[in-house]
Amino acid sequence: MARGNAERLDYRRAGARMEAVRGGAVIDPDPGTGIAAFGSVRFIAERVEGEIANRRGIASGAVRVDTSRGDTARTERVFYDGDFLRSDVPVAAEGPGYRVDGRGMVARTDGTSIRLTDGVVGQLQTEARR
Amino acid sequence: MTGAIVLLAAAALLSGPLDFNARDMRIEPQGRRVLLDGDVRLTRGDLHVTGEHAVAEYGKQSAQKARARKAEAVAGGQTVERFTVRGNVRVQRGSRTATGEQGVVDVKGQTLVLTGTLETPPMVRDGAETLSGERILLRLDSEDVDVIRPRVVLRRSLAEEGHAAPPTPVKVEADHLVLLQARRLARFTDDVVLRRGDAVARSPRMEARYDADGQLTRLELRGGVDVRQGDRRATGESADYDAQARTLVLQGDPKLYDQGDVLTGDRIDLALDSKEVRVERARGRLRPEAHKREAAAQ
Repeated sequence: MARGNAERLDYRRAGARMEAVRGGAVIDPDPGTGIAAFGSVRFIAERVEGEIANRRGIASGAVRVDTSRGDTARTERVFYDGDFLRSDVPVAAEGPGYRVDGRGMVARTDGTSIRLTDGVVGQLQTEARR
Repeated sequence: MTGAIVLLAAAALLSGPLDFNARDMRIEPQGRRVLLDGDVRLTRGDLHVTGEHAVAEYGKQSAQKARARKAEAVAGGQTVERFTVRGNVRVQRGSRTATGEQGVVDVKGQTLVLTGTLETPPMVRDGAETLSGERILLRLDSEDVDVIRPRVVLRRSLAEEGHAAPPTPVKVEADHLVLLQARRLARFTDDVVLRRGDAVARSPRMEARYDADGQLTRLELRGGVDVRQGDRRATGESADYDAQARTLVLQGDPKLYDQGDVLTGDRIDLALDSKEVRVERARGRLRPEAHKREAAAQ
């Protein structure tokens, strides 16, 4: 289930086109799904445009995703095309046990795989036996 | 050689962040793992591990523990327990390197295990010194190294001062090798074979002792020794090789068999370079006719 809000929202019934300014959404995944491993997912962006019927859209300007598991991802632009989220600009992400900067991103919307691409630099947390 | 391996292994992987570079990174939250692909480089202090692919596996938390640590998890309380690096794996620390086809870092166990193929076994290099085997385990929290079926070339130990010719390498094979740096000791066990030039010594176990500079000082073969050099054969309960003098001393009912001669005594010294033999309190049987050809050749 997803719910959202925006400072301003334009919605055209024809083609189910939507434009939002300073919009945000929260997704509560169904248990057992791939994305459920993250817990709730909160998404905000300066601008969101999309065609709901076609499951396509683009979010731009200070795009940020936070999960209740503790992951955070930031970028300037993300494309949505139903099964995938893609970014062709730098993405910075961090979460439990990792921190990474990539030059691009491809993520499955079911949450089973998130791939940072085109050169990644980061840190992984290790813990030795005490 | 021991010193070289020890310095490599001394890069203890303690708690904290491990830096990485790669072409791509894939996060699989359900599988609790992160995959790195393409020119992977993992760095911790002056320890560098490179390869073509790497998988970082996060530890599993029990449900009870997860609930108890929820606040910490939100802040990033999970850690990697194991790394597997594949494809042209190279471990470097300073001038020392170790290579293999696969390297597995067990963070909790503080070990790095290198494996390879028959054609390309895992190897540790330090200048001219090399050590290879079926499997090389580098301990990250101590200076010890464990090698299955080691093949060792002891070059540095054989510096023959004043000799223009390159030193004769000593090659060692065995089923198992443990390097104990704190004791400056390399312990070979099970079917130890020592080769130097045309000399071959076999024994169930052997210990190699080193000085503070990592130079070999002594080899001690125990549990029955069989030495062959050309037509000559010597046996004994034990044998000590002095790296400086390059002599092998057999003790414990030592016997020398040489073209029909059979000598025994309290101790037999074999000089591997000159092939001279000295037997203390010698007794035995000599057959001069067996050496006629040698005399004619001289």
